[in-house]
Amino acid sequence: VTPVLAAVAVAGIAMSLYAVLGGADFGGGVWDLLATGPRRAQQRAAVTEAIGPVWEANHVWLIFAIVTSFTCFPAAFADIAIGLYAPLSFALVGIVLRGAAFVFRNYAADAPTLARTWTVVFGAASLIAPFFLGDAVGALATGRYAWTSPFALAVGAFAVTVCAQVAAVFILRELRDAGVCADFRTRAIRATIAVWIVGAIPIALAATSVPDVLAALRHPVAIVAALVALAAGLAVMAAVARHRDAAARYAVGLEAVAVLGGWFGGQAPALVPGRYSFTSAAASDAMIVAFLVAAACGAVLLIPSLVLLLRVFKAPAR
Amino acid sequence: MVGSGTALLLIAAGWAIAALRRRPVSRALMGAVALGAPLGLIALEAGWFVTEFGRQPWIARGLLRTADAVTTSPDLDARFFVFSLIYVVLAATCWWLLRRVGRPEVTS
Repeated sequence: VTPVLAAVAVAGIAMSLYAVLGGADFGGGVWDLLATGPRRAQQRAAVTEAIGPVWEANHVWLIFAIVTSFTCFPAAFADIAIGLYAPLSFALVGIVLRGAAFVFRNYAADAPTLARTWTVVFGAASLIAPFFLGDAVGALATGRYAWTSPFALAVGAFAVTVCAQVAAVFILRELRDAGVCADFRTRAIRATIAVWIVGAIPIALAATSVPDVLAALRHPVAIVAALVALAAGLAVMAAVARHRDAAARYAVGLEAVAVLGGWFGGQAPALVPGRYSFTSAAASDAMIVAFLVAAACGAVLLIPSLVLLLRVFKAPAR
Repeated sequence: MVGSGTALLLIAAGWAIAALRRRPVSRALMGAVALGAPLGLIALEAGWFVTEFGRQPWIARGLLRTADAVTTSPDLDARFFVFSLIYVVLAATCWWLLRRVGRPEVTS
């Protein structure tokens, strides 16, 4: 295993964890925005309770992925940061406003106007951040940083849908109220169907207008990943319907990671198609080895802390 | 930074002496503790300013100038103002909420 390959693996793990855990977090905000029906207040309270203890920890993975990228692949990082400055700035605005709005609205419970305003900001920011992160990934895949292209925008919409699905599945195990639980069970199933429909759009657009991306999608890794994602989606449906909420979590996590892996693997060894490969963008081996050692030392501290955090706050409700 | 740190050391030493002698803490020392509350933060920020301004015009001393490191993406000033505005709004909201949280309970 070369240092570059190890760095690619670390970046892939960080991005997968962010896609699943950060995605669940963003999706919680989406359901907050879409809270409807007679139990809308309880639905919102359930989301707040579910993401309250962990939302900051979930975004550790974004920071880790960014640090991995600029330490190990500085040339590509600089190029991406310049080429995709617009969608990444929008995503950053979403992430900043989201965290602040979440805290503000919880402390403004006795000031209804203020609480309502920041609840709207929280929901809107929860749409904006994953949308533009997905858009940035789509734009990256085109190799031209075409972030306003229909393909990139469709990937953004797909990212939001996956976040909503992951959140609806993840929250099931923590709900005590049977009514709210039934609400989210329906949502998890509808969101899975939505993921299939919205996921077909970027594929259709790639087939008609983005030949480079279509070539990546025809790569065996991408095809296998797509089949795994579809199978995982079916498993999510089955597990949610049968109240196997723990199994549903693994299935939805597998689905999100398969989608990400299909993109990453399909365009490999290109990092930015037509511009950078993993090796042409990589820092020196000495730099990468130093980073890997530092990351391993950090993991010794971080992983037990995260396990403890999740054990304390994420024990099943029933 | 150094001044704040020294002042905090002196306040801590004063408190330790009072505690060792088992004397009640004087009003002057209590006042000093209250005044010292923001000094830790000031020292932190001042230290940050020293490192950032102190190494100019380099961003990595001897390797890369700040002027060469800055992004070439457009609309940098617009982004700067938008982010500044966001943080001003967030800071103002935070200030307002903290005042509410810190307000004494009104008994009805």
